Amino acid sequence: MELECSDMGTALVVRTRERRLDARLASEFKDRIGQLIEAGHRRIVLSLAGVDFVDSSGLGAIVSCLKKLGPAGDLVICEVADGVQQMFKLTRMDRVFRILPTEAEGVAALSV
Amino acid sequence: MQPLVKPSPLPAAGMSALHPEPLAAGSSTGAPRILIVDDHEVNRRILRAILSRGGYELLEAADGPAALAAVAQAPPDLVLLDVMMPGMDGYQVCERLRHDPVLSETPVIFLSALDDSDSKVRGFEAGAVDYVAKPFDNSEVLARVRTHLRLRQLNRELRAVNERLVEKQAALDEDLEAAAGIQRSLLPRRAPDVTGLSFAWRFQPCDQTGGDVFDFLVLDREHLGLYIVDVSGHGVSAAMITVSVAQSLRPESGITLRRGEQGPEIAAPAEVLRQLDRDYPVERFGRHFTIWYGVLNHRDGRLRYSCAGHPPALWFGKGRARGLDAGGTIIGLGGLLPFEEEDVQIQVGDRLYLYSDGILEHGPEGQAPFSESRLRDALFAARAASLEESCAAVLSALDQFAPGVKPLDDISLVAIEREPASTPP
Repeated sequence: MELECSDMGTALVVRTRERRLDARLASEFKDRIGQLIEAGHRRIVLSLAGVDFVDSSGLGAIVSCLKKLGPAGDLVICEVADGVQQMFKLTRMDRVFRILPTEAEGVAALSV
Repeated sequence: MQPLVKPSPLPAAGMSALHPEPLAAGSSTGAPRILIVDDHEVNRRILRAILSRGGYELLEAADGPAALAAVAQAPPDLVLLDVMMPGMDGYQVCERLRHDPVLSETPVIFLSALDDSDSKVRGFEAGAVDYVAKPFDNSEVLARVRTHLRLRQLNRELRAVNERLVEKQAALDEDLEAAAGIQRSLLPRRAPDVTGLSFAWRFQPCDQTGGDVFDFLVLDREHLGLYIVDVSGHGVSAAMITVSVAQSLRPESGITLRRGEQGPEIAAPAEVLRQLDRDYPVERFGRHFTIWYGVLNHRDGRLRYSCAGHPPALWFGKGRARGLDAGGTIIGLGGLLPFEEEDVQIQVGDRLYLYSDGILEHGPEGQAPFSESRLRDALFAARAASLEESCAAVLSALDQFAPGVKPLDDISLVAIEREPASTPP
């Protein structure tokens, strides 16, 4: 799967360019970000630009990244499409992690 | 094994190494068995000499019928077949072999003085795998024989692996069918025997096993527990977790019905969710689930519920519909958000619908899905129909919305209606 990273110093921006984050990709996604966290990245901005569908497996992958970061880490999500926002709202995950409109705002939120 | 043809009435010229009973392909010594078919004895002798260096078991036949009898008797691993023979020629023998289900895979190498392209093509069309010209080049003959024997062996091994795979797959399919059966047994078999309520439900797993489960729990004489669970992902592991969660929710398990000092106590919905959240952290199975759980007093219609990241139950009352969405987030995060509760009063004639997001998400790829508004519309349109008919109406609406599109998630729908109390006995 396609995963791009930009180290902003204060936070790591991770972009997945896949259209669907579902059962097919969830496992790989979880592993790849897990590796980034093990490498020491504790503040992550996850950009879902281009993603128009996240199902329960995809959500599970994001949740496991959140858990892996632990209390010392932080994850914010940005560039969320409407349909995906709906899903986050339904599961109340929008109250579990912060959702910002743009990458810049995401990075800023973690720099505080 | 049936012989291909009745053995020739003449004494089988040139037949050797015959046993009274048919042998399995490959000799008892394990060396590959080669049948040499040529009407000239001198050619057979030459080939014997060439092939003797290979350590093969060698059989001979001097004509077509003898060859066919020989292969029936002791199936060879390879046949060296002369084309020009009186009576039945090599092409005819080869074609007969091709049509035999057991022997059709036996490699046949034609031997011929006819070295022209047409003859070779005719040979291949008859089913030969190779063509050697006379006079024979010794090394060439040996090399070709070795190659084709090796190919034959590889094919055999491939076939054996395939057969094992097919067996394994059949066993897996059986297991899956059994798992599906166990899952179906978790769902309500019949409506709970409570006065003042009627029930209907639909369940369509998208695969053989599903990640959804729902049930009605008789907690005491007045109270009914209602739940619907959706485990993340698909496959057998999601299915197994539904079994575990359903088990945990049974009154006997002590979570929905606690053992209190003064007897059994009905646990508050938020408390049930908190306990599940403790028992099923995401790290346990690498999965999470969502749940809507409520306790309904069927005598007076009071409902207390809490919802963990699950689509809100739909409550249809006089003239209005409401989503019951008080609660927290998905089960498994260790209480990151509190599970809030709400109390509502279900009136006689009101309907309550629980469902999972398979309904909301259904639709053709790349387009807006069915979503809650269409579900509400379908249920509202069916408000005068029976409870069963209202469930059928939803399934029908889903089908019309995306004709021919197979749902990518389980479809679950549970309907409860509060009825007028029947006259006391």
